[in-house]
Order: sequence, then C-alpha cells, then structure tokens
Amino acid sequence: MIFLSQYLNRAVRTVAGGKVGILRDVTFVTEGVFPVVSGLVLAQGRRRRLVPWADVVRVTLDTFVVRDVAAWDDLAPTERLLALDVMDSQVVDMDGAHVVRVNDLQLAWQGTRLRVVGVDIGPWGLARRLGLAPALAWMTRTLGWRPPEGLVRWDMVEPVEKQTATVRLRVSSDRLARLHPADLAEIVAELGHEQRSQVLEALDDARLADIMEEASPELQSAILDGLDEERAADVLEEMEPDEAADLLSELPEDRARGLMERMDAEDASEVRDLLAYEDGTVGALMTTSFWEVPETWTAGRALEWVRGDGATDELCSYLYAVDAAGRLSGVLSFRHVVRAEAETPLASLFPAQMVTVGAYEPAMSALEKLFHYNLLSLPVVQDDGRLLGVVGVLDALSLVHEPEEP
Amino acid sequence: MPGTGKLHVSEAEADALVTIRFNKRRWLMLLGTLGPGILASSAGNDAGGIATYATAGARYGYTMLWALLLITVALAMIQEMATRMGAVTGKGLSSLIRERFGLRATVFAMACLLVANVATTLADFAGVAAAAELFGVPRWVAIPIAAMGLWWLVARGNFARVERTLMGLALVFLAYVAAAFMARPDWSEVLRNAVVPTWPAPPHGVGNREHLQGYLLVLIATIGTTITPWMQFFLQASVVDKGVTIRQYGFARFDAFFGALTADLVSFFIIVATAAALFYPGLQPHALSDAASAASALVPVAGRHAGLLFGVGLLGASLLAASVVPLATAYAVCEAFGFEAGLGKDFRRAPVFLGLYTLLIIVGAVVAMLPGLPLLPLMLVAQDINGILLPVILVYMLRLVNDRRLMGVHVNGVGYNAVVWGMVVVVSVLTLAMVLTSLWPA
Repeated sequence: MIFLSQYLNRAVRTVAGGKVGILRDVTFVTEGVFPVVSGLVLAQGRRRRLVPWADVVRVTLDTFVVRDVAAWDDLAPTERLLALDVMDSQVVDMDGAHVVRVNDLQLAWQGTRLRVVGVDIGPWGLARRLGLAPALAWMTRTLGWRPPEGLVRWDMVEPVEKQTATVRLRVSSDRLARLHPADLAEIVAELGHEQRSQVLEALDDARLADIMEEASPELQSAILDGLDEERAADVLEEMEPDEAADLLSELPEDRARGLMERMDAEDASEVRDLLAYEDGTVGALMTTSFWEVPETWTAGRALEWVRGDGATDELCSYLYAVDAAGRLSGVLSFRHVVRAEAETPLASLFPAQMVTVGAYEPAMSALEKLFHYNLLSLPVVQDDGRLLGVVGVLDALSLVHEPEEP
Repeated sequence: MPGTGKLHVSEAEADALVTIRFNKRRWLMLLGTLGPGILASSAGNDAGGIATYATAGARYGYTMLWALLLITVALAMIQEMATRMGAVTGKGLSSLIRERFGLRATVFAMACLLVANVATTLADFAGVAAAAELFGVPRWVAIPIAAMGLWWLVARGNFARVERTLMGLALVFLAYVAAAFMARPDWSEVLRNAVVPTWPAPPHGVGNREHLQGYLLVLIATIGTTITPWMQFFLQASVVDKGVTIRQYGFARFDAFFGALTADLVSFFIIVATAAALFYPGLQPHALSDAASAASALVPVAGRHAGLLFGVGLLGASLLAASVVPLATAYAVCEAFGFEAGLGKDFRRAPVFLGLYTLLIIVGAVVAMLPGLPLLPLMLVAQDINGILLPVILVYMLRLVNDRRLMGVHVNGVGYNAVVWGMVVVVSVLTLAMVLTSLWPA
C-alpha cells in the first residue's frame, strides 16, 4: 500500500539526476470515483514549483524524476491540493455515520495514473506521519493487540470542509441527506459553524426540520442561529408543532416572537397555543399533530380522510372522535377502523372507557397513564371534555431519558 | 375541522401565558450560558492554587498582590479569547490547532498539555493526601479510594451531578474572605500593595540570590495556577458544547470576565488572610510545608476547627480538579487526533479516551502516594510547570485568534494582543531568569 505521507518531503530529481526540489504536496482533480493526481508541488528553497503530471517521468517510493520544472502557476479551478486541503481535515465516514479526521491518504496506481483511493483515519496514519510506525508495530506485537486499520475507501467518505467540499458539494449533500436524521444530527453536532452551515444549506426545509427534531436543545439553537429569519421560520413550519414550541421556548422572547410572525399563520397559532402551557405540564408535552375526526363519520369516510389530509400527522395509532363542540367522544384504535366495514359508523366502534389526562397536570402523570393502560398515545382534554392534543409515548419517554453527555 | 383549530384557548389568554413561559426561560438561558467560564476559573482554585496563594501570602506578605491584579486582567482576556474562538468557529482549540498548524505542531502542543496536566493531576492527588492527613487518615488509604472513586465515576457516567457537589464543597474556601477580614489586616497597606509593585525585602539570613530564586518560583506558580493551559481547552470545548454562537455572545463574554474576576477575588483573599496570619516581615519565611500550617490562617474564622474546615474545602477542590483535568486532557487529545471520545463509552469504542483518563489518574495517584514526599512544595512545583508551559499554548491561541480567515472581524484588538503577547514575553523572561539564577555559580 502507498500513502501520501511516504511520498512527502522526498527529493525530486531531473532526468539528468540533479536535485530540483523537495516534494511538498500533490494536486488532484476529481475524475470518476477516485480522484487522480494531476501534478506535484515542489519546494525549491522558499519558492514553490508546480510540475504537471505530463512532465513526471518516474515515481517510486524514493525517487521522483521529472522532465521540467515550471514556475509556480495557479491551480486550475478544478484542482485541489491533497496535503494542504484534505490531510488533517474532517470528513464524514458514511459507513459508521460519524465525523472523523484524515490522518493520511492512500494512493494506488492505475496504469500510469496515480489515484487517491482511501483515507486513513486510524492510529497507523498518525504513526506513519510522525515516523513512529515501527514503534507502533513493535508495541502492538508486544501487547498482542493490534489497533484497527482505520482505512476507509475514498467513495465512502464525504468531505465537509470548505476547500474540499467545493470539489463536489452537490454529491456530498445528496449523500448526506440520505442518512437517518438521527445520525445526521449527530454528525452536524460535531462540525464547526462554517462546515455546519455548508452542510445545512444544501438540505431542504423538511429534511432540516427532521434533523432539528433529533437534535439537542443546544444544537437546535446553534443551528437556528446560523439560518436567516425566513429560512428559520420555514423550518419551524415543517417541524411537528410540539417540537417547534419547545424549541421556540428556548429562545429569547423577542426572537421567538419575530420568528412566529414570519411563520405561516396557521402553524404559528398552533405553536403559540402549545407555548401557553408551562414547562413540566402535560400541555407542554403534547402535540396537535394527530388524527381528529367528527364522531358522525363512518369508518370508510375516516380512512379516506386519513389517506388524504391525515397522511402527514405525527401520531397514527388512534383516531380521536369529537362532537360538534370539539368534545372528545371516543378513541378508536386504527387497527379497528381498518378492519371495520366501510359503512360502519365510528360511534359503534367506541370503547366503553376512555383514558384521558388534563393539560395542566404534571407531565409525569401522562407517562404513568400510558404505562398503566398500555397505550401508545393519550388524549389531553379540558375540564369540559374538549380535546386539546395528544401525548405520544415516545415524547413522554423523553421525561425519563437522561442524556449521557454532560 | 380535522387538523386545524384543535386548541380552544383565546388568543389573548394564550399570549399572557406565553409571556410567563418565556420570562422563566430567559433566566434559565442566562444560567445555561453562564457556567463554563465560572467553572473553569473556579477549578483553577484547586489544591495547587490554594497551596500557591497560601505560600505567596505566608512568604511575601501582600507584595504579590499587584502581580495578581495584572494576572487577573490577562486571565479575563485569555478566557474571553477562548470563548470567542469557540463561539465564532464552533470548534475546540485542539481541532483548530490541528487544522491550522498540522500534525507535528499538534503533537508538540498536546505533549506540553499532557506534561502540564500530569503535573496538575499529581498536585491534586497530593491535595487529597494533604486533606486526608488533616483528618488523620494516611495517604495510602485515602488516595487509592479517591482514585478508584473518580475512575468509577467516569465509567458510570453520572459525572455532572458529582461535579456540582464537589464545586459546592470547594465553596468552603469562601471562608478565606471572612478570615481575611477577621485577621484585621491594614487595608491601606493591602490596597497600596495591590496597585504599587513592591519588592519584598529579603529576610535575615537569606541571600539575595536565594531570595530572588524563591520569589520567581512562587511568582511563576501564581501565574501558572491562575491561567492554566488546560483551562483554555476546557473552556473553548464547553462553549462549543453549549452551542454558543457569536449572536448570543454577550452572555458568554460576561461569563468569561465574571469567572476570572470571582475566581481571583478568592485568590486575593487567600493571600491577604495568610499574609495577615503568617507573614512576619524580616523574619525567616514561614516554611509552610504542610496543610496544617496553611489551614492555620483560618483560625480566626473557625477556631480550633480551622483544620477541619480547610480539609473539607481542600478535599472538594482536589477531587473536582483531579476528575476534570484528566477528563479535559482526554477530550483535548482525542479531538486533536480524531479518536472517539465521550463519557459512557466502553474501552472497545473509546480506548484512547479511557486509556488516557486512566493513565493520568494512576500516575497522579501513584506518585502522590510515595512516602515522605513533601506535599505542599510538590503542589507548588506542579503550578510552576503549568506556568512555564503556558506561553506555548498562548502562542498557539494568539496565532489562531488573529487569523482573519478563521475569525473574520472577530480577531483580537491591539490592546488584547499587547497584553497577551506581553504575558507570553513576561512569563518566558521569568522562566529564563529562574533557570539562570539556579545555574549561576554562587
């Protein structure tokens, strides 16, 4: 295996044998899956010289022979420096879905072209660059434990640094966008502000909203700070109303109000209503994104509505039937509604008992009821029986889940 | 209709309630952003810090107070620099060093940090030993228990709560504020010394060279314990973790300044209290070789319980720093080299992280257990090592914070650069002077 670090700082000679400089870097261009080395960067004293690949005669581990040495010329717009731009930068390892640092680069010959085929993110790359590879090898033999190779194929990493990402920003955002929002949130958390906004800019609002819902409050507010007001409001609209309300309540009041004014009126009013409940109450935990249907409907009509307007709602284990005044009249398991004949009135499927919880009760009581009655979600009602929202079991579980990082 | 208008609270009613929730939250937010700076500075008042300030007071009276004032200004600026870099870049100091200066420079920075932090951890285990001996518990009993306890904490991962408890224990040192007042020092003398640089006269029977050497040792230790290298890594990482951006920077900057001020206020009173109680001008300097003599400055407050009070505070401060410093080291090193890090991860997932943490605790604990080791001088020397290595880390920080590509318009102003570069030069010159005075033939 060949690594960039083995090439760097070697002497470069002319065909005649005279030394013309020291190899400091190589340039590369993206061409197919694996980038190809397009030239050498030499140091001649304090000056830099560029040798295009066409003038490179021979490359082995300890000799570089070149035909001609040009004066330093600017790089072509598609060219990047491998050591300067990629080494020591952060990349996303798509396999493990986390952010790693490039310790070395693996190269390979394809005919007469040299290609970048992999990224070394492990201890071996570090040791090699510091000249300590033999020491590490000796240590692992003595200890009988070998640290992982830490080699990742080039096409399995995504650059996120500014200089490297410009090479293929389009591709990278597409691929990153396909990760699970929870993984992507973790990756975004590890990035610096500049890299973060680069990654986030390429995502659409819905995707960004998914990430926001998975992120810690600290990360949420940091992400929101990096967006302009208009985009921030759009993302808030895409988020589940309860998540959006929680996020807004973390912000300074004037900023939160400013964002709500920019939001679509309907979404904003839903969020504003949720914000009315104090932290630690059932109201602050519930969502308004669930299936609410008039009690007079039939099962068929309800299913038709679910397929249409209800398709994007958050909680979808039960349908909640209400009367004309908005009072909760029955809770229907979705399974029962699906199995019922189309013309069956919903009212005939109502169970004898309903479990509900009040909006101003402590949030913990919702969790207790969910567990006690083995429910997936729990309707929240006012004193007069009007339905306000629903608490899902996953949201309630956040009450007992303690984050492990300080 | 389905999907809309499900809530039945009037607009005005909701608005009134919303105001309540926000106002509460605003306070929480202030508290949430406050913290890293205060924690970093107060963890600086650890075992080594107490030993250094007490020695400064007992040996040189009030004459080091003016230096403390200047150090406080520098500390506030340096902490603010670390906070600003975290807020602007969203990256830790280790990451920035690696990306800007490459691998070899990173290895050098991490080696310096590691040496300083091993010394600090050692000093803090020495603090545990000193506290234990005040209670009559031998060090070979106390240290293994403390070391295993701290290690277990990280394995269990309920670190944050214990951290708060230990910080509470360390608040005992506020007793020095009371002790300083009750010792009835000559306040005009104290204030004069705080502003006017004074050179302490060598006591009888102490040669000039020996006097200068001792003074430099304590002065560098005072700088090194007040502005520690690890603190800057820790502070910047916490700012990043809290998601502070340059937009909400006001709170964070306040925190950096406020933390520096409060921490050094405590240091100030430790020096005043020990100077008033233990310093007699012209006489041989107080040896201050064990914790009991350092505790005796607290006698005006606690009477015969002074030793007990001092012991509790010392134990809390030592344990806090002995857990935070190895942890901060492990985080910084792993961030620099891209190894996986995090509390609650097992050895297979984060071998370097846990390995480093374990190694620091073992080295600190084992060395501090060596019988016959003088604990207080040991703590002092550890702070000297921090002071000597401080300029290295400051140079990295200065070059980063003045990099326009990185910081944009948020680079240092002229005043900042003058003070912090001045600090680099002063500490280097002091170190050189210390080396020269010890090499010069008598």
